[in-house]
Amino acid sequence: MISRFTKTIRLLNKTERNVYETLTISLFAISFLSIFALRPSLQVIAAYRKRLNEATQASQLLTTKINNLNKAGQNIIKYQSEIAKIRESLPTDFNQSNLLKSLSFLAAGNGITILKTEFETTKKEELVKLVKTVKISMDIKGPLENIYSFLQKMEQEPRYIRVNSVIIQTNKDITTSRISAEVFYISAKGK
Amino acid sequence: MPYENDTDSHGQARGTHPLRQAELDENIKDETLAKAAVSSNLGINLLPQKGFGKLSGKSKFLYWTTKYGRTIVISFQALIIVMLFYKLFLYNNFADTMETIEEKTAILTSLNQTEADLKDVQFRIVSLKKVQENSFKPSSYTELIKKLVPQNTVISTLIMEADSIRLTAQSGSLYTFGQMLSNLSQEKSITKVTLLEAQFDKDTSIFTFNIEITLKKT
Repeated sequence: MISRFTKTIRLLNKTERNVYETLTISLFAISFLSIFALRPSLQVIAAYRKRLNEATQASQLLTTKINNLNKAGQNIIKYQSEIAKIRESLPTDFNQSNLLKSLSFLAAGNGITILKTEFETTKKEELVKLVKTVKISMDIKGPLENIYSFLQKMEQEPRYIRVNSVIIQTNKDITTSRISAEVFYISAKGK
Repeated sequence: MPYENDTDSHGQARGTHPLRQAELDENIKDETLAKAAVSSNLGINLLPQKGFGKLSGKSKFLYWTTKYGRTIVISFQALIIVMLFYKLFLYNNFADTMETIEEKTAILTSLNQTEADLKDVQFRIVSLKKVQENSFKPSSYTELIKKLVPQNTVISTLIMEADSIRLTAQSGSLYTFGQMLSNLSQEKSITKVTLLEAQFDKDTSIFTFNIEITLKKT
């Protein structure tokens, strides 16, 4: 193989040999400079471009978030009363005495008597994560129309009371009712 | 003329290869021209002393360096300088963007409370929607009963649940009961009516019944 190469070189005339030699050295120099001078610069440029792109993207996302938060802040001010109602309907704590007071007030307003009220904190799986449930069982007595009215007013209470079942029994002139309901609150510990 | 006898400087005989012969002829021509220049007493010799092919490795490299090498090196240097400026431009942009990000982060920190409030409201709304699923409004059921049950029907037991109403009642006559059934069948929100129990007392003409009404899920 080498002898053949040597033979070929010998067969070349002076000008051709000069051209080939010059070309070989030039190509070698170009390769050398490309590897040791151009490549590191290109790598640095590529890295900078990547970082710049990421930073630009992050900046755009932050701008969007700031704009959205500003808009949300304006809406929070605008709908303050509605937000207060939402907070009241699903409060952060469970105050039994307050709930009992409001139910008693409601019953008195509708002309019925609360015979018994039971509260039970459920240990079953939560409907929504961090939202705790308290079961209420209530026995009431009063005219049928008043019971209907009481149920309607209970729905309109600022605090959300979910009625699961209502049993109304009329025996002669006495109407009694058992209401099974649930109230919810957000667990402050989980927040 | 040493080449006329076809011998080299050591007096050895040369071959008659055509390529070799051409090279020899060229050398002779160069030498003749050089001698002519000297003999003309001008003292100027513009012809190269030796061809590239005859130079040693080191000389060849030096020759190449001064002729082509410097062009390549200068081109590369120019390219690298352009890259350097581009790098500086990118770095400058990157520094500016980072500064902007820091400013925006500071703004976001000041909006932390708004974000917390917003998340709290969103969480409460989602939770309320979830807990309200499959719930029912007793007032709508009572309205329905008032509408469907005729006036001379006395309800003794009424059970209201998420999608059903069960009632035990006494009707003054069969006609009243029939009227109630007709009302129930015409109501669009009712999907099924099941008569669980029915008793008719001939002496008192009172019709006692236990009925289950299944309602459409809202």
